[in-house]
Amino acid sequence: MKIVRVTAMWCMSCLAMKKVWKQVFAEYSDIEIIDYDFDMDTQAIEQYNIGKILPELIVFKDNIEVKRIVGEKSKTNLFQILEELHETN
Amino acid sequence: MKRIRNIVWILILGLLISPFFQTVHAEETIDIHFFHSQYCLHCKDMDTFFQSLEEEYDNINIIYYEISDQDNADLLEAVALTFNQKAEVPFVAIGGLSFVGYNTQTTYDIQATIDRYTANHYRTDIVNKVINGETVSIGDFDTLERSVVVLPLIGEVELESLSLLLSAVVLGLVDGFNPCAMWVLIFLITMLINYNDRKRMWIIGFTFLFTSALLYFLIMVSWLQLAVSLTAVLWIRYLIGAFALGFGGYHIYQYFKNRKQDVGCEVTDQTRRQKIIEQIKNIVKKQSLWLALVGVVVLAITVNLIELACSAGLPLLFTQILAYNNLGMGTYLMYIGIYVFFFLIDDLAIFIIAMITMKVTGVSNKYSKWSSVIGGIIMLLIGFLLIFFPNIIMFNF
Repeated sequence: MKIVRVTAMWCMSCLAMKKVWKQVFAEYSDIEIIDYDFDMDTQAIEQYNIGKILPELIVFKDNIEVKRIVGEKSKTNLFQILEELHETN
Repeated sequence: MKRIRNIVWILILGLLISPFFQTVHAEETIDIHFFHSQYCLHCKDMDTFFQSLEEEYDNINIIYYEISDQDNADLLEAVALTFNQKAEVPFVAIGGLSFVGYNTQTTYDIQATIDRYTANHYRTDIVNKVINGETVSIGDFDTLERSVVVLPLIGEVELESLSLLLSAVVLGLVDGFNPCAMWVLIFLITMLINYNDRKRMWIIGFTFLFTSALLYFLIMVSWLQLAVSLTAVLWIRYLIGAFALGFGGYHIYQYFKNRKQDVGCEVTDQTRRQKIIEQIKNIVKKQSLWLALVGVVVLAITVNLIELACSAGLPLLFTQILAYNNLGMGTYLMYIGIYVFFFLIDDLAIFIIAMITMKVTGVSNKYSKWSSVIGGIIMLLIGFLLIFFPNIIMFNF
């Protein structure tokens, strides 16, 4: 599973989510995270058609987009989403 | 016919001069019933206080009741019972009010009561009614109106200034939590941290915050000048009230419209944001600290002027509240200073924590959503008060 994570240096929510991401993704060794900055990597993220709210996480399985996780999520909520994605293997 | 005309003339004349009678009536003597005992220390304090009052007021008459005299003791019992108080000394009764015990607050309350009775016609004297055996009705009792509150450590605080202080703190805090210009500070801090030069970071960061505060202060002072000059214009008050209702309503509408929307950073106005980001990068890269400081002052001014529209509601309304309270310029500036300090306090906290930990701590954007709806509710309230109950805005309730 691959996750494209788009954040911004000035985005408070992105900073607030750092701790949650660290704790959650530590539980999943099979997830590859690719980070982009909304302002610095404009060309690279053009293909992903990022919305109006940051942070935005785009989940790919076998290079097919299966889910978008937008904005701040609680740890339990994020765990739940990832569990569901793993179950629909 | 002539007689009717004379009667009408007398009536009109009576109406014209009656207000004068009222002021004459107000000058009548106010009886202060003071039950005391020679063994009671606090009674001596109260006595000293009354002596100072007698120098200040010429319309008070202090009646002493030494309770070692049985009649006075019986009277105290009856009066205390009437006021539903304990029969303890010092016991003071003025008109429809009683004061048991002695402390600084009591002295302020007694003085406020004397002032009130002098200004707005003296109430029924319950002690006299008890002495004369008349029945005391519920309407004879009065409610204490405190104009000064004695707070531990802080000491005496005028209720009016306490309310203004509270408004400055609350409105400043709520106003400060809106995310409008916060993103610039976060980006600036993040860039500063990358350069790893602490002294430079502190200087540039504080310059940005100080300039933002100074600009906000100057804008609010200019709004205040305008507001002070327009307080007498009735339709201006209604207009500002309507603006507050509209702006507050918009904030609340936005909250409920976006309630389902994910909590996060809204990406708007890409070009302007890119321009500011470039501006910050140039500032941080500058070799000369002085050039960097000039850059950050310009940045702070441009950003705060642009973002002003986003958060203009609360500061504008606060200057209205100040203007209606008719204070001295020094006091105005103090309250605006307090407002701006609390407006900036969250930015200061984020900056100082980042400088100490060398890491920007993220605060969830849900708080700024709440602050926006709380700000909206406050604006609705102020708008409503401005239009319907302006005296409450003047804190003389």
